[in-house]
Amino acid sequence: MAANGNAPKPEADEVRGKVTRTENRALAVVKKVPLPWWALIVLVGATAAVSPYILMPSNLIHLVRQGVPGAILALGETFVILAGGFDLSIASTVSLIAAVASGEMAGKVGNIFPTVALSLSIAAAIGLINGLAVTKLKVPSFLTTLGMMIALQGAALVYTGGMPVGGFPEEFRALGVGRLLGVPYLIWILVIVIVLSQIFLKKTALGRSILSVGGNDLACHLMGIRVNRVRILTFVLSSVFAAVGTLLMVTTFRVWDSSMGKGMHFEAITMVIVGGAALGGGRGSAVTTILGWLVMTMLFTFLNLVGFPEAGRFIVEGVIILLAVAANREALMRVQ
Amino acid sequence: MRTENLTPNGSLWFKIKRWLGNNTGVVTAYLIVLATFLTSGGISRDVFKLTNIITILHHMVSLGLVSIGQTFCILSGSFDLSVGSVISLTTLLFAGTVFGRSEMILQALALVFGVGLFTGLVNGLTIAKARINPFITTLATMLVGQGATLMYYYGPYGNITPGIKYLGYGMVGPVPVAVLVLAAFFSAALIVLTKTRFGLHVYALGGGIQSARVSGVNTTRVRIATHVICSFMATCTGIYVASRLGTGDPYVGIDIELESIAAVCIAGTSLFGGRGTLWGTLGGVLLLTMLSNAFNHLNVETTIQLIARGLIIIAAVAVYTMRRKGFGC
Repeated sequence: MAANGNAPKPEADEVRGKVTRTENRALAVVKKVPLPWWALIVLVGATAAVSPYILMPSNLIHLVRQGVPGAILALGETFVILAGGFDLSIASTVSLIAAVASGEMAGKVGNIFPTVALSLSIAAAIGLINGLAVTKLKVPSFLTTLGMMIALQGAALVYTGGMPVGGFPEEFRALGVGRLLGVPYLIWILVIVIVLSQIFLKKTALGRSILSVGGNDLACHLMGIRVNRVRILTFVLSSVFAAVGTLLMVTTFRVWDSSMGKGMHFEAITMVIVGGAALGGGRGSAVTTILGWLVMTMLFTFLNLVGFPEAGRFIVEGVIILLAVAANREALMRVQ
Repeated sequence: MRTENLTPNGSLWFKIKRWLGNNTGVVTAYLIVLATFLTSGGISRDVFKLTNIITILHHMVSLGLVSIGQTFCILSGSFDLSVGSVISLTTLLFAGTVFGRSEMILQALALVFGVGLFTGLVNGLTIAKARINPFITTLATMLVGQGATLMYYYGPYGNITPGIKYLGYGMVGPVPVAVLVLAAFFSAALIVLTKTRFGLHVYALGGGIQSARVSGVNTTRVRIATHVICSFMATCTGIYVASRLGTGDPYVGIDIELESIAAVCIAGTSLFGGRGTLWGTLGGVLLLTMLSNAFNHLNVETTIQLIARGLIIIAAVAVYTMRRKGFGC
């Protein structure tokens, strides 16, 4: 987008006259800000117009806190999409990890840390299997993670027997309701995760190689980047982020329930794409994903406020994805 | 689709080897089907009974119909996530419009095919004209379809007539009518894909859109046609499902889009287009149906079935992808 912001050449300005120049400047400013930001500004404005109370800090904090698990899942999915893949298995990962966490904690404080460690290890193993199947067996990630999704659904049901198991100790659930400086722990955690992800993707060699692998894997290979390792890492990160999101999500639940995680894979992909990342890889960041998440959260808040029917949300979601991608494609074409 | 003949006078063994190399996926799928059939039959004799074989064929029909359409999309280098929504919506619109009145069948058919073909047209036009990724496009139509369904229907709705029920339960001799319908659609699709210019264009488009375009293929028209065919088959599936259920159900099509993509790609059809056959699709559908049948006969729990199903999908695809050059993504 930055390329669009260049001021017009001086000669052109003299020909066009003063009025056009200011118009051009205004347009340049508009174009310089990526489209999702405008969408967010418009949505916040519209929401405030309908009900100013929703934008009071206490309400905003509540809104954001509810969306934290979804945001963390979307951040994990970002790594895979940036490297050119898909991860459909995160929805079932959520279900399995929630089941295991609930069952292993069994309401006891002493079990919290071992269970967290176990959950993260299971998730890392799932990501590793996904990554190995994609890179070594060359099964397209869409099919690998589809197979994994079905398998993990089964695994969650095997573990629980289809019934709620165990439970979470009060101390663990305190994480979900606790606050530091008036802001819930969950939001602090999200902020830390966003900052770390963004620094990792933009400032470290490994993180930047994720983007370049998504851009052109053969070129990366010729440059000496170990493409397969980078791809495997993205799948591991995606699953681990899904586990972290799940652990934060279950702080507000009492027990496991078989509908947990349903549809969260498509939700996460939507957020990543709406923020401006390119499907197929090479373009996007942690910040664009968070932007997509904010846009979707504000959109649904707005629809709730105006009394839009619950089922109609799907329709709006579908239309928004399509518009977002169409707009991004336009932006891409302008840069080129 | 290798067309050049490297060795005009090659030995038979060489020809067989080359054929196997080109069709690893299809051969593997049918071998797994055969192995599953024989193993489960060895343990439980009921598997070999004619009634069970007919049951397997009968259970293939809904996944088979939708996968035939999905094959057109995938061969042309696209795919369709909206089929599940189309199926759910079709069952409701069809059963809801008919509502037990046989004089309403024609209107119901016009309505469901209108909606189905319109969805296909929207998918095709968006992908071909606006050049938006098929994943995004069909995810969007899937969500819109799901939303539209859930906005008007809260649960099962509608009623069919005995005439329509014949489609789901009727028999011609020992063979169910539905299986004959599937066979007819399969043969028609096979002829279209292998014997017509359009079929060749579908493969060309999947092989590479640029090269297809410069070779004179009307890529826009072919893309739209494959999506319309896919939605048409999804609508047919919806009517069949309604005839089986006797009513419409807003949740009946959930996840069938992913299952149909898996069925097409298990047996050697490339997810990225240009490579594969309808025989592969048939093998994939047969494999998934046979697995459930065998598991049920062996009294395997549904939960374990899910795990096995997921892993078998990955393993079966790996058999033909693992020797590919390049990087997996």
